[in-house]
Amino acid sequence: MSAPAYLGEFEHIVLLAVLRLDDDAYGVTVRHEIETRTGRDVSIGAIYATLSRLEAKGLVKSRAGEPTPERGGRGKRLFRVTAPGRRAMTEAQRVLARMLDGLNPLESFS
Amino acid sequence: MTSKPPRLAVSLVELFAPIDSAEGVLGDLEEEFVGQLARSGLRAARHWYWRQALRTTLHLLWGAVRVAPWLTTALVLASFIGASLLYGVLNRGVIRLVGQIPINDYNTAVWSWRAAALVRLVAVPLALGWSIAVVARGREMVITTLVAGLLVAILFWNLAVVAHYLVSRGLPARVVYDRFFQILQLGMTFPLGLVIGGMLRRRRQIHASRIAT
Repeated sequence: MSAPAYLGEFEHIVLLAVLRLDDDAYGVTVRHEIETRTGRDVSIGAIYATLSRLEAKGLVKSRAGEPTPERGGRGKRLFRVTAPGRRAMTEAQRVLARMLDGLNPLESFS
Repeated sequence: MTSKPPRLAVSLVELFAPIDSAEGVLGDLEEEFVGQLARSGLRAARHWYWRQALRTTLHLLWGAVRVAPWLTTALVLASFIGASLLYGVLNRGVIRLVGQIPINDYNTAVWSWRAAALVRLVAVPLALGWSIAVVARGREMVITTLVAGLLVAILFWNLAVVAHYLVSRGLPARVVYDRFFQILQLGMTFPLGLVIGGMLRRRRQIHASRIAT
């Protein structure tokens, strides 16, 4: 089994959003999930650029959805996290937990 | 004004989005546009769309570089060197060709030089932009835009040097200003032609993929 891929901060956030949305993860829902939970105003382009990168790393997979009228007859591109993606996320969480071990972030950085 | 997203903004995103994700990106933007339209009205929705389209284009451009940085750098450098060399060779060829035309009257002289300028300043840059886009298959706009950006950066550097030289020779500001804009106009035709050439090729690809689906 190869070593889990390194995740950047925004990649980590996007991956978590895709995981939370389960079968309904596409540009609009991922953007709203991030906006609601982090307060960040991100563009659709930023989401797609990150998802393309994650797909190139094999951490997410995409499939075409059915076209709908409210989308001007265009289909959705739905994403889901792959097994290597879940491993990369687990590893990133583990690294963060190890780095935080013994620290109280609120006291240490204030 | 129609209750549709601005066509120019849609085309801009379509040009820069990878063929396989263009439908997803444009569909997402349209879905959000419909929501904005219901909440804030047409004017605000169109403004929102333009802002998103510009941000999305920049992200797609930068995203394409980040996915394959070495391939992008190699393609940009090869295209820059190849296009610059070919531009010089073709330009000299056109000038030589025009020089061989027997000119007996004023009209012939004007028309032959107009034709030569059209070939040098329009046809050659367009053909080179198209050729770069053919080589950079799937990344047409990314590569032609980056090559054009590199050319514009070099042009402005040269302009700064020329302006400094002219000013140091004590030439009046008006002369410096005129020279500056002459060089700028001529210099901008090459990068602009490359981008338009890339754009034309990309539009053809989009059209072909539409027919295929």
